[in-house]
Formats: sequence, structure tokens, C-alpha cells
Amino acid sequence: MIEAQLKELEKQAHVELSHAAGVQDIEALRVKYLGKKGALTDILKGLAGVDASERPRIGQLANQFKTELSEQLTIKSDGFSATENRARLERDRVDIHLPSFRRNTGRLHPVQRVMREVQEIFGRLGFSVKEGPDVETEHYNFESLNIPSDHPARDMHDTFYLKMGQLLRTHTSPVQIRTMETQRPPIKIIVPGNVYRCDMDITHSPMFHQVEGLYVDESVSFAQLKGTLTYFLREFFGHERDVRFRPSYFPFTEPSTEVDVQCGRCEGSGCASCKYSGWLEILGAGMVNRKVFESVGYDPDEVTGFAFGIGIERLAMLKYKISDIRLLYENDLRFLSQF
Amino acid sequence: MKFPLSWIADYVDLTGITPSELADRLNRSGFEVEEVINVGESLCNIITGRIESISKHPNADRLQVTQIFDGATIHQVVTGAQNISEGDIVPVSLPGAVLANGLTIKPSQLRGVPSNGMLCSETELGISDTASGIWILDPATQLGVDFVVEGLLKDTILDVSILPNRGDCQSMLGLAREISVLLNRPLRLPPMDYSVTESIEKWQINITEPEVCPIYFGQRVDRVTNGVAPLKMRRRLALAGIRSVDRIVDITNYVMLETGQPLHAFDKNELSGTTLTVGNAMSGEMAQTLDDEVRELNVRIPVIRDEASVVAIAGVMGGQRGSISEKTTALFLEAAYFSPTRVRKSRSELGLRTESAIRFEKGVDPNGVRFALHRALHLLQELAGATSVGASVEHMDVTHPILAERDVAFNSEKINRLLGTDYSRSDMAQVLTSLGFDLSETTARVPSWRRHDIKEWPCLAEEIARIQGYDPIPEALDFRMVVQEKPSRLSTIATVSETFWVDQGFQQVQTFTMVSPDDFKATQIPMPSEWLQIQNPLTPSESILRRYLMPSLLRTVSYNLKRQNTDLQLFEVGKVFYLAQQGEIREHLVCGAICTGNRFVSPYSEAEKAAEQPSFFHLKGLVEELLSQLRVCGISYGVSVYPQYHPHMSADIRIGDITIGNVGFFHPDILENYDIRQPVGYIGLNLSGIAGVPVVPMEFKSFGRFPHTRRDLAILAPRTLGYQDIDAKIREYLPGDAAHYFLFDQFESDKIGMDNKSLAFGFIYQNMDRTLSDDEVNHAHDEFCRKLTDSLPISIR
Ligand SMILES: [Zn+2]
Repeated sequence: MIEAQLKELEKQAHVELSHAAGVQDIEALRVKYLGKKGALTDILKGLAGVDASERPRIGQLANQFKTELSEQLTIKSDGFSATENRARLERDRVDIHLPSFRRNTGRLHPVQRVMREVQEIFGRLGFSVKEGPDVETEHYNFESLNIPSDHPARDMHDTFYLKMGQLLRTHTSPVQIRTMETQRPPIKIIVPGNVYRCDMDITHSPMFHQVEGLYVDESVSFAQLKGTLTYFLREFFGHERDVRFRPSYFPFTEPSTEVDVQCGRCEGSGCASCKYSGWLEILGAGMVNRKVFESVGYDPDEVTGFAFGIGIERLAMLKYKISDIRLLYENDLRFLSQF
Repeated sequence: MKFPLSWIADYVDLTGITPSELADRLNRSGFEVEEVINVGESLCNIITGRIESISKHPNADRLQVTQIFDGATIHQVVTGAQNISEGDIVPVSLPGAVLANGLTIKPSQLRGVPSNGMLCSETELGISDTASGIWILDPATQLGVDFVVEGLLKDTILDVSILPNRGDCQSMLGLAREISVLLNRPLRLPPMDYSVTESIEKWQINITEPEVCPIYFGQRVDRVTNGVAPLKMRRRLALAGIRSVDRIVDITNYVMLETGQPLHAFDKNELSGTTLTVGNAMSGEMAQTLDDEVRELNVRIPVIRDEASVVAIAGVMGGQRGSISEKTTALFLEAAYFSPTRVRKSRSELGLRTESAIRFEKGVDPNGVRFALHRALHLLQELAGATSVGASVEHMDVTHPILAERDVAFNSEKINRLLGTDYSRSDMAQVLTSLGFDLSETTARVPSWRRHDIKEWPCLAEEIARIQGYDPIPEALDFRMVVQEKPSRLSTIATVSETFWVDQGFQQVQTFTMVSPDDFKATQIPMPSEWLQIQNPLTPSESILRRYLMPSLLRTVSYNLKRQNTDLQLFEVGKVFYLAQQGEIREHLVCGAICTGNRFVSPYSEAEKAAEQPSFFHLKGLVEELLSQLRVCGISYGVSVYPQYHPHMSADIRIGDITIGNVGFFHPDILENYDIRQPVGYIGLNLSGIAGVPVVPMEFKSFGRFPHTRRDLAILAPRTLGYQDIDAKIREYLPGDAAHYFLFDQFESDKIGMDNKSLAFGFIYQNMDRTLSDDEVNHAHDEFCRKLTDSLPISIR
């Protein structure tokens, strides 16, 4: 009797299983047939009326039914959930070739990029950063740097004046003086900042940026100046570029030098951008003039030092091949976003 | 200055060295050769010929047919020139000749008449840009000679920029002296002999300002024949960039270019009296200078006067009266040393940057004054048939410092230490001696022509290094360790801020600190004190030191919008200026961030589009994030008083009592002034101000490890009740176990009444030591809600 019922149940379960359409149907069948209050449990309630010798066999049949159905349900269920997962993932599908969403890019201004790089390179050589005011006095900008008011060298500096002899500094050298006035050697500093000259064309801007450097100690030599600047220029422009030191003149240094780097465009053979010389003028430097030490109260017989000044815009223009300095101050996004 | 090499070769042998080698040697020894100019490079086959006859062209009114004799044969040449006469000697380019512009001459027919060449003007020969006709040569010119050589048409010129300390090289002889040292070849001086005839006429020189003029030599010259200087002299002047005037003036200019010593020739018959005085001009005194300008003088301008009035601005320019003319037959020739600083001041006040002035102001050789005078007298005698009359009038103030010998210490060890080299003393001595130094055991006596420049022993180091070139000096990196200083708080703040804005998608810009009066007007910022105004601006638009960054950034936004760059997020870190008190200008480092348009590059999905435009609260969030990165806390906001801002969408940012910036959207009226018609947000922060605020130390705070429970609270509040008041009460009554809370919804709608707003908060309950029970949380939260509704005009929704 029970045996027949089990057979019938098995047949019925198979039919229903074959009609199941998803994981939910399977779970419903599991409850219906195998659940605590399910059909199998119902049938096994009749087991009490079965002859004791028959019970183990019937029990075995019931277990077999349970195991087999359970397995089939699981197999079917796994199949359904895999399909359903695939369908769900399918709904997430994107066209990977659509354009990306990008936040507008933020970049440092090329002058600041170069400024950071220059500071970083000199940082490696042990130079600290010092800053000072843009508005200066004639004393700090000229006189203490051995440029008296009637000196022809003032022609090299077209100065913007404010009232009462105040002026916009033409170089960041005043900060060197201010530093030496308040500190004893050794001094090893670089001074970044805005500087100003009344000049404007494709290579001159009335405001531009400089990094100047100063190293003062007991026995600083021109050879160390050459070593420092050669290291800097090779790190900045690349080790394949030649560096040339030419004698020059600045009132605040003696000996003075102008430093050239081999033109990158023509590799030294001469082209329009290096005026067919093969060289690009990069910076001015020299051994600090004794007069400058005297003006800050150092004994020029006790210390020597070197100083240099680098125009940052010029470096940026050469490095990024920018032909007109005015591009750096127009702030056109199409220009700025390239860096 | 332009140096024709054919002229330099008069004083130093240049054979075997190419112009570019010479330029390189000069470059490496401190003379920057800006250009090597080849003059007349292509010219060839140009000879001299005499016009034997001129006849009308049968078929053209404007043409003439000439017969040219070259000393051997006759050539028929058709010309359009009208300034020729029979007997003139002219340059002729024969078939095969090449002109300056590269044109090759061929036999041709001009309107039916054969022409075998061309008569040349100065333009065709490349020596001048304009010419009034055919170049008529000196009647004494030989016929049939190669005129490219005869006319000095071909030369190489070095254009050298002479450094301010090398006044001694503003002359052919000066540079030749340098070259003679570089090439180790002797320097040849030009002849300077002349004869003198006796005279009883006595001339006198009065120096009323000894400081202006320590040396003054004058020589009277008679029987001068003025006229045109020889071709060679005129060509040399032209190649060096000086216009030929007449024989006398050309000779003085030639000697100036040759020796570096400016000379001045007065027409002696035009002067009154026999006394010349060197002194300062009188205030308001007028003088007509050689350039025909009438100039008002003052006491700062040194002048030469005769017994009547001013006849020259000392060292700068001669006067109209006493100037040389074609009638001149007698001269008073002046050679003097004028004070460099006085000449510099005087010429800059008069705006007269003459060849004479630029030489005096860099300092001429005090021992070269007499030499130049004698050289000029030699040339006047040779080329103008002149005779020097009587002894020269001489003033020499031997007490003047320029006439004192200068000795500087010569210590080879010190020099090597400064340079980082190991040159031998004898090598050093050899260089210095060849440069004209006179050496003793411990000193070097400076040659007179370098007294303006060589002042201390490091100058000797420079001379030694310079002549060898800087290349042999080693490159050393053997520093003693110097411990680096810590960067200032302000520079750290600047760096952190820059990085922050870049990370937030803002592009850094860089604008001038000098701004325009229009910037102040457009942003309604009062014009600053005149202390902040540049006295000599290049343009009014860069004439005032800026007070705020805002106008610079608005201008940048406007500039970009006009160029169709519509989505902008820009920032700048820069200086602003203000007057602390009369005459005392202070500088602040500030940072400004400005944004308009979309934050994303072309979004095309609805969700992205919705988050596009930054709101006031986005801006506020940026401020708070930056300040938190700068380790600054205790920020509060107040209603902004700046009229530049939208009155209801802007705030001042404060830390304690100090306002350190502001944030908001611009007032549409301000934007209108910049032609901007879309909302623009701005954040301005005073970094110098922030640098003064204490830094909150970075310290770990433990966080709760037990699970938290969230309770929400939605309230209905009057619209007019500010968030600040609600927030204050929440803080006041917040239960101890409420770890934090947040606003997660806020809206206004007619469904809840126009005068109301709805706010919903989430509260996170959490205890550090145990898990809170639901009952505990409910109890605390209900109690809190009750207190809140009791103390505020709100109801719970
Ligand atoms: Zn090149």
C-alpha cells in the first residue's frame, strides 16, 4: 500500500520536476515532497500499519526516494541558478567602447612643475629653500649687491619702481643678502620667487620666476660651482647634453660665468633656435664678490662662496619646446592641460 | 660693437685663423660674439672705369648710353642713372659679375641697344640700403682695378657684445689687444707722429669741476682742408656702423673707434676767446647741440664753454656753434677724460646715448688720452694736410684716483683655492703679463686701461681662468655637509594646497601680480594707495600691485570662456599686496580656486549629468577637506560682506575670530562686467593667515569595536529656522552613546506647507565597551527627541 503510494509520489514528483521553471519552483517542490510537512512525511505516517518485517524495506525505499529526489532537485536547481545568474549579469552588460567619464584634469602650471623639479634637484645637493618679499628696496636689490646707482650694470636691469625708491625685485638675490645678514656660514640655499623687469617680447615677460642659489663656506671653489651646475643641468636636460661655461660679468660675482647647454634640437650643429651657435644660454653664476660679503658683515678673507641665478620660464620653454613666453601667462586651458 | 676683421688685422696678425675659430676663442674668454657677418660675400668681377662719353638712348628717354674705359678697353653700358657726367670714375660690373643680391650680369640688349655690364650704386654693391644714384668715386682712383678689393666691399665683421666692465674693448685696438693675448701674437700700434709749428697764441683750459675732468688735452690745428675722407676710412666707419660726415669728423670718429678714446674737434674760428672752461651747466641754460635740438641744461650736466657760452655737452655731444663745416680751416681738437658717472647721468638725463658717451661712461684709458690725440693729429696731417700749431694745452690732475697706480695682491695659492685648480705661478704670471699687468713678488700692478675693472685679487683669478677658458677647471661635488633647514609652514601650506587642488581636478594658472585699474573697477574693489602703483609701468593694464586674486582669476575665466573653453576649474597660489601703514607694503600668499561649467568631461548618462554643476555645498566641502589636510580645525562660517559675491550664496570662512577666506558664487553684476553669463563659484583662502593658526597634532583616536545601532529622526521645522540653530540644539542634547549624526535628507515642498521644511537625521549609537541593547538605545533616543521638540519650534514627522 505504502509502496504503491511511494511509487505514485515518485511519478508525480518527476512530472512536476520536469515542469519546474526556476529555482523558486524547485524550492517549492522540495517543501512539497520532502519538507517536514511534505508528502513523504504524510505517507510515512502510514508506516505504523505496516508489518514490522516489511518496515526496513519500506524505510529503505522511502530513503532512496528522498535521496534521489533531493539530488535531482539540486541538479536542476543549480542549473536554474546558473542560468539566472547569467541573465542577471547579462543585464549589467556595458559597451566597453563607450567613452569614459573623466573628471576635468587638474595639472600644475608648467612653470610650477619646473620650479618643483629644480628645487628637488638642488635639494639632493643639500640646498634649503628660502623666500622673501617681491617689493624690495634699492639697498637690497642693488647696493648691497655691489651695484651702486651710477653703475652701468643697472642698464642690465630694467626696474619697475614704486614710490620712494621701493621697487619690484629684478632678481631674488636680495633674499641672499637678507639670509646672510641674519645667519652665519655655512649657508646653502636656493631662493625661488617672482622677479620683475620692464621688458616684454616673445622671450621676455615683465614678471617671471627665478631660482637663485648661494653657497658660502670656508673654502668654496669655482670647481664646486661647475660641479653643482653641471650636475643640475645634466639632471634637468639629460646626460647626453654638453654643458659649457663662458666667462661673463656680473657686479656681484668675480669670476663670473654664463652657462650654456648644448642645443637639443640640432644637437650642437646649429639651428634657428640656438641662433646657429649650437648652444643655449641657460644661466649666470659666479664666485660671490668680496664687496657683497663686506656689505653683510662677513670677512671676505674667511669665506668664499658661489651664487647662481636661473630663469624658470626659460627652462620650461626649452624643456617643453614652448616658443612664446606669453603662452605661459595667457592661461589658456588648451595650453595648460597639456602638462 | 661691430669689428671688421680687416681693420683688426692692422694691429694683430690674423693669418691662419678662421673667423669662426676666432669667434669661438672670444666666446670662451668672455666676449660674446653675437653674430659673424660676411659682407659682400657673393661680389665678384667688379672693376673701376671712367665714363668717356654719355649719349641719349635712341629709343628711350629715361636711358643713357655710356662708353666706359677700364684702362685698356672700352665697354658700352646702358644705364638709367642721371647723376653721372663724362669723366666720372664709377664701379662697373662686367658680364660675369655677381652683385650683392646674387644677380649675375650678362651681355644684353636694352630697348635695342647692346649693354655689356652695369654701372653700380652703393646698394648693388651691398654697402648701403639706399643710394641716390651711381657711386661716383674719387677722381684719383686707378682705372680697371678690382673694386671688390679696392672698395673694401668684402669683409667679415664680428658683432661682439662688450660686457659693462670691459670699456677698454670698445675699440679696435682694445679687442686686438685681447686677441693678441689669446693668439699669443704681438700687438702692432698705428703711427702717431706729427709735426708742430711754433705759435705765440696762448690757449687756456679752466677746470671748475675737478671731479668731472681730471685730464684735458687740447691742440690747435691750422690749414685743414675739409672734404671727403678717403674711401678706406669711410668704408671702415660704415662697416663699424658709423655714418661718414666729412674728413675732419670722420678722422675723430675713426680714432675713437680705433683707440676707444672719443675726441671732439671744434672749429677754432667759431669759438670766442682763447679760454675753454669745463664745469657744470647753469640751471635753465639752453644749448643747441649738433643734432640741431635746443636743450635745456641743469647743474648736473657737465659742459665745455668758451668765453661766450656752452660749446659742448662734455663727453656727450658737441654744440652747434663751434661745429665743423665745409668751411672749417682751423681746429681746436679736444681729448679728455670725463667722469664715467657724470657722463652717464648727463646722457641719461638728456636721452643722448652717443658713441662718445657710451665710451666715457664705461671708462676710457687715462693713459690713452694723449695717444688718441697724437694719432688724430697724425691722420689730420696725413689726410687733411693740417699742421699742429703751438704746444698742446694740457690739464692733468695727478691727485685724481684714476691716475693713481693700482696694485692688487697676487697670491697664486689663493687663486688656485678660489678656482679649484692647480695652475703654476709661472703660468699665471705669463697670462697676467701678457694682459699688461706688472708683477712683483706679491702684487700685480693693473694696466691703466683696466683700472675701472680690476679692483681685487679675485679679478686676477678671473683673468687667469678666462684666458685659459673655463673648460680646464674641474667639476667638483666635494661639499662639506650642510644640514638643510626645514621648509616654512607657509611653504608647506602652499605645496599641500597646490597638490590638493590638482587632485580635485583644478588646473593651476599663473597670472601677473601687476593688474589693471579696470580689475579694481570691475570687481568693485577700491583702488589701492598710490604706494602700490608702479611709477613706470609698461602698460596701464599691469600697473598696480594686486590686492586680491579674484580679479586675476575672473579675467582668466573670461578669457577662456571667450575661447570656447567652457568647463573650467582653475586655481592659483600667488602673492597679494597691501599697505600696512604709510610706505610699508606687506605681502600675503593667497590661494584662489574658481569653477564654472561641468566638472566632468562630456558626461552622457543621466546620473553623471545630475552631479555635474558644483553647488555651494561642493565648494564648502572643498574648503573643509583642504583645511583638514592642513591640520586646521574649528572652522565656522559667517555671512559674507563682500559685494562681489551673490548675497545669498556666499560665506566668510573663519577660524576662531580670524577670517581666513571666503567661499561662494559671484554676484551676477560682477560677472556681467567680465561678459560671463553662467554661474561662477569661487574659494579664496589667505594662506599666510592660515599659517598663523595652530596646527592640530595628528593623533590616533580609538574607534568602537561593538556593533552600532542607527535611529532616524525626521522633523518638520519652520523654513526660517536656520540649520545652525537646529544643529546647536542637537549638539546640546545629544546622548552620550550617540557617536555621531548626519543630515541625510532636506527638502521644502507645498505638501508640507510653504513655510516649512523637512529635515531627516541619522544617529549612530555605539558604546566603546559593550553592545547596546535596543531598549537602551530607544530610551536614550526618545529622551533626546523629546528635549529637541521641547526646545525648538519643530515637530517630529
Ligand atoms: Zn640648435
